[in-house]
Amino acid sequence: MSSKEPEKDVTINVDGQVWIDQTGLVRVQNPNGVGRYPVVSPGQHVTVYVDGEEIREPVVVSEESKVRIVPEEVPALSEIEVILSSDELVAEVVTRFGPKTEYKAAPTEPAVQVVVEGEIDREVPPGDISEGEVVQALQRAGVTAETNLQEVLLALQEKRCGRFVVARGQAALNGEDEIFRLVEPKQREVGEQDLVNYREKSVYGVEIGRLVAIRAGDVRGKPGLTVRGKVISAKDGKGLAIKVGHGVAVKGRQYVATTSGRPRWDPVRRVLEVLPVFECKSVDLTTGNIHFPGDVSIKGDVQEGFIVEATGTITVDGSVYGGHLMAGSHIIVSKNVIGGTVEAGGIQASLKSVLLYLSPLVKRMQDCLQAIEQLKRNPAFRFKDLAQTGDGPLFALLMENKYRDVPGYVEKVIQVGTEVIPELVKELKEMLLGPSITKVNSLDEVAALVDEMARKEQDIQESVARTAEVTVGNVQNSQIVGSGSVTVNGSAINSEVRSGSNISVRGVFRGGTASGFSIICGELGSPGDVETEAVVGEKGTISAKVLHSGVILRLGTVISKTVKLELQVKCRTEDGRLVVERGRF
Amino acid sequence: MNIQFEENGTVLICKLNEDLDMASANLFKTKVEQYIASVSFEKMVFDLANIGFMDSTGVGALVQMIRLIQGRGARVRLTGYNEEIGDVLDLIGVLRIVGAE
Repeated sequence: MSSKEPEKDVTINVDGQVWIDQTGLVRVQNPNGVGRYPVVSPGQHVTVYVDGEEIREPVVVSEESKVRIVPEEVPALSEIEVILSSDELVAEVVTRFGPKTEYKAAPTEPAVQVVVEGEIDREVPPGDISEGEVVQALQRAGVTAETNLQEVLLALQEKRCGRFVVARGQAALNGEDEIFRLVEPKQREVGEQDLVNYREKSVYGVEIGRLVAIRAGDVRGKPGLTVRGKVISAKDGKGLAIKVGHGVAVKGRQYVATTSGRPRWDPVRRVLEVLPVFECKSVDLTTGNIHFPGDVSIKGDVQEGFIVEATGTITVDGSVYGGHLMAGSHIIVSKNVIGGTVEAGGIQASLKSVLLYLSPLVKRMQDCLQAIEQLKRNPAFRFKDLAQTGDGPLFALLMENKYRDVPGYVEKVIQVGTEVIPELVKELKEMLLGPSITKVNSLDEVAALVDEMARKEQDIQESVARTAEVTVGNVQNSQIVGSGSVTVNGSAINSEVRSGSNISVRGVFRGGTASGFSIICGELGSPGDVETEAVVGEKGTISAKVLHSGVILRLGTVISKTVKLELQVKCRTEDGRLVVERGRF
Repeated sequence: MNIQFEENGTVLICKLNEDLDMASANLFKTKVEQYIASVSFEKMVFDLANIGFMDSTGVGALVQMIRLIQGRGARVRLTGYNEEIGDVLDLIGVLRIVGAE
């Protein structure tokens, strides 16, 4: 038996290594003992193969592995692209340049783990692009408009990337909607010290031959042109349908007075006319009642029991004693109205009634057309059946279901609008009443009617805004009604004053009822408790320098009777309660 | 028109397995009218899960049937429809005349 000691294990554990040498080859050294095998990972700009397989993740290699690196080679880029905007109104040229880039494997230090990266070995500049090539590319894209290649050519010369506008088309210009303007005489400027003559407001006259109104607006649209030479059609603006009434002649787009009088534009009936003026000294047995289609000017008084009716304004320089004045427009009585009746702006009340139903009708019909547009865009709704039937059944379907309130509005507009908007009423009857709904051939017809309704609504709004005002000196035992404001320059005693707007009584309002949007009085009520009532809406106000006790104040649903004398007060409501503010107003 | 009817107590379920349009609307109405004439129910459910599209004739036929059933005193519900069909029914106002589930 040998006394020799067993051999000790002298193997040293060393990790293997891998590295890229200066020539771009992969070198591998196997590990010693239980050392780790080296790992190779692919980096950028190279493709790495291990034993013939391309690797995309870290792979263990050994001296026996066949590792091959193929560096990337990016070809040169020199190209142009013509881009047209979706509306073909702009042509652009995009230039793209890039050099040919050859990579090589970057050398690394030996390590147990190496990422093989490519580094630039050589760059070759891109090729040239000639002006001729740009011109050809534009021709291939169909560009026929005049081009400006200056910037592109500079970029080509510098081999610079960029996007350059080279041609522009001409956008279509839609025509303007025609507008209509009354030519009013220039108002005299009012200085601070000047007294304003309220009788002059919004009433003016013209002499024969004077320009009354003009139509303006460039109605014809101008077609455009795409960069490919295609004509873009333009819409013409909407022309105005204006009827010429009494005393007006048309000269091209101008309207000239053929008689002296007061121009009047009725936006609802769309009639322009010059109202003649009837003048008389007084209204009494020598004149009889007056019914005049124009303005009436009375230099003296209107005697008891006589009627003055005018489609325009009524001006009385004297007083009205028990007479009855009815005007389509303003009424001015310089002195007193005693035991009489004065009514201004009767038609406005009818028009307001029409608006009550026409406005929601327009809104609902616009919503309905919008719903149909949405249906057309919905892929789950098909329109094939309408090719046979026309749009009527679809329209009727909406009217009978989602818009079933529409026929009710139509009936109301027809009921209250027959006198004031007869043409629209006729169209509504023909298209939107009863079974006629299903006879609609095309929704374009409905859209045209809705447009017409919207225009008429706007016209009525305009007309209603021009309310008829009443201005009188003093009032006693009378009834004064104005669709616009009512102004009493003196006092109103034992009378009824109604206004669609504001009531202003500079003196005392004593006995009777005043009702309007707001009421301002010098003195309201009396010390002797004469029954006096002031009525406004919920949002209205009642103001007085002197407010006597015993006056009934109605502000919407709030009713109150004053119990003591108050000075400088303004009454309004807040949260259903009466609020009395004190101070100067 | 491929329609299935199923009775579940007092509920009658009508499952439409085909798009509802001009081609199928009349047959849909005939089948529904014939079926409901012979049964009694308190509530009718139209299952529209298998409907991909409708046209105005189809929607019109559905509305007619809804009104017919409501006229008999029964309730009507629409179920299973996809979002786009739901939009169509809403825009035309069908969902307003029935309860949607």
